[in-house]
Amino acid sequence: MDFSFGDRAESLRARLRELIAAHLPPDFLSPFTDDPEDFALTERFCRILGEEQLLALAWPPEHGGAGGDVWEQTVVREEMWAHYEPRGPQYMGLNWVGPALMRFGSPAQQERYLPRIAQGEIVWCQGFSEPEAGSDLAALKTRARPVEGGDGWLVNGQKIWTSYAQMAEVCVLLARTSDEGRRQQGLTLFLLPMDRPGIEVRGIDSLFGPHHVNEVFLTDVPVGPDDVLGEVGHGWRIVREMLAYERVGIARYARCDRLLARHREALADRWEELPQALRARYARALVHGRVARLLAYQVVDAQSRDVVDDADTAAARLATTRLDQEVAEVLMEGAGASALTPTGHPGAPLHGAVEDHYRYSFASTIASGTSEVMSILMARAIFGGDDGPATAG
Amino acid sequence: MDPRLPADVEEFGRSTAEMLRRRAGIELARRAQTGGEDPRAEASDLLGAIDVDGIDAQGSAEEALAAAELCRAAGAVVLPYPVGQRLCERGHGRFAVVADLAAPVVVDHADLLDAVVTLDGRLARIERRVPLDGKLSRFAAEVTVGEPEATVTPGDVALWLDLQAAYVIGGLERAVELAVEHTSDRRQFGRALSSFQALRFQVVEASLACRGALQLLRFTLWRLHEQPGDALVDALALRVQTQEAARRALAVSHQLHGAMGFANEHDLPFLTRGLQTAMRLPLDYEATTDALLRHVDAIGFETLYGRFTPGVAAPTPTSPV
Repeated sequence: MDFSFGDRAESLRARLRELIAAHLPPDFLSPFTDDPEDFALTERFCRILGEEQLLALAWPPEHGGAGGDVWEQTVVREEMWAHYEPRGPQYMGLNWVGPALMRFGSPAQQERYLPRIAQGEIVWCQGFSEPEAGSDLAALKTRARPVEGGDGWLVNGQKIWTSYAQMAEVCVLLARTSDEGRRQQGLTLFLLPMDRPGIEVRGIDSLFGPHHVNEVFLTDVPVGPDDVLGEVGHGWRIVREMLAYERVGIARYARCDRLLARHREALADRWEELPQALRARYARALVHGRVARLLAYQVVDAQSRDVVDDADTAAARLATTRLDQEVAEVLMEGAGASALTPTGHPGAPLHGAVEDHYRYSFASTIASGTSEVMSILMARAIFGGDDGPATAG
Repeated sequence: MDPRLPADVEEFGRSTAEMLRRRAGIELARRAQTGGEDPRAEASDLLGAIDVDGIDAQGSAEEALAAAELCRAAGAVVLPYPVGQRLCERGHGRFAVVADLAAPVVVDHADLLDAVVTLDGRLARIERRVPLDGKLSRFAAEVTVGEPEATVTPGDVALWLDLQAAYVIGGLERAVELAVEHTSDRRQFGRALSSFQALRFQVVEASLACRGALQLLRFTLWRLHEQPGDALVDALALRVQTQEAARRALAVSHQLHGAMGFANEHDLPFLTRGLQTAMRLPLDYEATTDALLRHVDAIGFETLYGRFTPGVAAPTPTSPV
């Protein structure tokens, strides 16, 4: 039993922190701002990581990666998420679109996309959720109808809550291609270039700021057999695997740890003036952060041995997403009225990171599978059997 | 990084749990709690059969993990015996960690112990014992102690606390198992209780808290040898998580058992009673959090991004905190 990362992974962590300190401003919080420079910054940072072979570190060399082990990959995830994901939208391609392509993509798709993902040159978006299909993803209505006399389809429907849709080059789109069998059986994944005719993207103003979430309207969008990821009708299985990658791909506990440590430092002597009950909540949050991290490591280890337990995965995600919200509340109270000072103003605690974390924390227990879905999965693993609704988890 | 329990420790834990389940089960706790008997000598013999004294819990992380597996197995049957205290025994005798030397000092299994030790490591001999014989404290006693006469290292204090946590975690895991078994068997409204999502989710919450405590226990014991200066603050963190798990798991298990959970024909009330002293002594939940906070302020808390309290470093392993 050994919880140390080892010299190689720790050197990697140090190098990543050097690069972050050298290339990111201390107030960087997201590429989703009104300032286009923030997005440009993520593109430049990805190129720097790509040059050092740090972008697709965990990928096998034949796909443009550096063959790093799962713990080096974990270090990358921790450092990137703790520093507001300076890879911008690239984490999606690296963490799960790429692995899914390696597993299910055709040789032509692998050749077309994997080297560009490894170099941080392509932005993806995920077309799963719909207005009437959130947790119940199999209820989606977007339909791909075969073109008469041809071998392709025309896609019609609407996707929603789609991150990066305005900047994405390709959408991983889940659509219904058949009504036969169980609802989950007639779904197919398409790798849809976003410049195809019939696609309209509209931003949704939200709690998270501009450009983060979008609606995508699809009207007679042509797709062909070359766009299918895996086999026609097998989309559900791939989505389940992709979501499993995504759920452990975000090291939320790392950002929480960093925020707590930074905020304690920023409070300096004012720490003593905080109510004892609030300081106790900081202490408990530190404990819960450590627990969330350990549960995540347990899943990473299991994944590396291909013995993933659904209950462990769900437990790790429940712990880390709740931690996000616990830390958000603690920091907001610790910052007091100054937490309301907008980002960019001199008085904003941690350059606005406190209020930013609070706003985003509400999404933690919703995105990539709600806490309720996680609880369903965990209960299924504990009790056995197949009670409860079918979920994409 | 290898977050898995070593295979031999895991096997030791599994076989010990099986042996205690088979040869003691909940029966020793039952006899102690309801029959007025003192089956601790039998418990001691059982532990002797697996060479409990051959485990050098202070010796290495692996031995500490084995000691914790033994305590966890004992907790699963709420074995009425100070197993953690025996594993922590050193030259100064068998001791209990206490919050303070000032009266009233309540200690579990006081008649089998020699001394008490405060969190900051002051050791004092037990001079007088007045048994409580309470419903939640069959073998606890209020003790009078002498003047402090020696110092125990933070690592020894921490190990004692960690092994108490292991005992509690074992009992909580069993309480959750019982809830799963009961809700799977019991039918109401024509369905198994386990088919109701509201009840399933409660079990999820209890299980989640226990899983977190178990992983933290193992990490804490590993760090005990890797970062001995943090032993005490880490042990207090583990205790906070364990106490949260205890509150959650016992409440859920009782709620889901309904009235059956009160009846002495069932195992659950014996678990609930049998865990109380380890859960509440020497510090209950709020007092543990206060102690954790004091230690965080004094020596910090290790995060992925440096120590939570700036400008302080972990003390040397042997200095009192």
